Amino acid sequence: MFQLIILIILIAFIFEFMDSAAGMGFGTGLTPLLLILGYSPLQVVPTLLISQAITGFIKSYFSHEFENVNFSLRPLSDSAKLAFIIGGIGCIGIFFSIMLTYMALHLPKTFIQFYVAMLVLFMGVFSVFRNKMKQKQADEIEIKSGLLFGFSAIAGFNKGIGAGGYGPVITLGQIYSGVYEKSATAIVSLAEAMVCIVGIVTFFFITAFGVEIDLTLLPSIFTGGFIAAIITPYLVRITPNKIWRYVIPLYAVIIGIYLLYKIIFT
Amino acid sequence: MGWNIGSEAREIDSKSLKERLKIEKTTIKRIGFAVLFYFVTMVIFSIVI
Repeated sequence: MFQLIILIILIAFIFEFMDSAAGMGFGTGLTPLLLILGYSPLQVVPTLLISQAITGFIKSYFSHEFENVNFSLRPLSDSAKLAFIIGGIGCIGIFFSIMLTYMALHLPKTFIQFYVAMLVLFMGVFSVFRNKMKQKQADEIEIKSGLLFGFSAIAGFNKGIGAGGYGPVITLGQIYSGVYEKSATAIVSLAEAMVCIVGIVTFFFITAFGVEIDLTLLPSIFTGGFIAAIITPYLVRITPNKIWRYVIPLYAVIIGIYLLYKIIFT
Repeated sequence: MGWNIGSEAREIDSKSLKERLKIEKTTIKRIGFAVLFYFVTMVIFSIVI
């Protein structure tokens, strides 16, 4: 049934706005909130994947347009190359994640959630202190490839065990590795859009085994996400990078605390 | 492996707020196309869902 729900549009806009600006929080924050509002996982998860795939490409396009990042394909820019590498690892992860969740295996959920919450919290807190210690403008920091691939692997592993935390690990991992904050969040958007496409394909694959999905929320989620995907790259452009240097890790800390709260009180 | 990421963003950051606020005409056109894409997508959703 096609319908637009104002509350859902507003919530989707807020989470997509923060996800576009800080590179994290759309899936991690919105999924539990929609579940609390009474929607089922099969109404929420595929809807978020479809919406994030489309808005992810829109965000990436406008991040390139507003010069927060260079995603040129001919010749292939380093930013696009990195997004493809990170996205590729995430694609393998999400395929295994969905198969494990809906087909057979169930991993110890609380332990995995605790691991992700602590990882995100630690990375966020470390980034805040790292900023305080490194007051000098990190303009020409050399990007460390080893760290980049290491964090991509950790994020892919998280995706693979279905624990979330892909955005925070990838975003903060890139920043640790020396990627400029504004570009790091744009690269995550493109990588996540690719990951979501594999997620959608996998979901439609499992529907062949009798799992039914419900896309009632899609128009509302997509509307909120679309507005944010256009506005946020422009706001990222006009806001100085030093602001994002603090906003991103602080938002990661909030997400980490939120994840821990969820584990303890639910 | 040397990476060249973020040089465009750094360049924009070095400009004044007035310069950063400027939007090119082509960008406005592209936003218009994106809005059109939104309505087409919603029509598709209304048929599929």
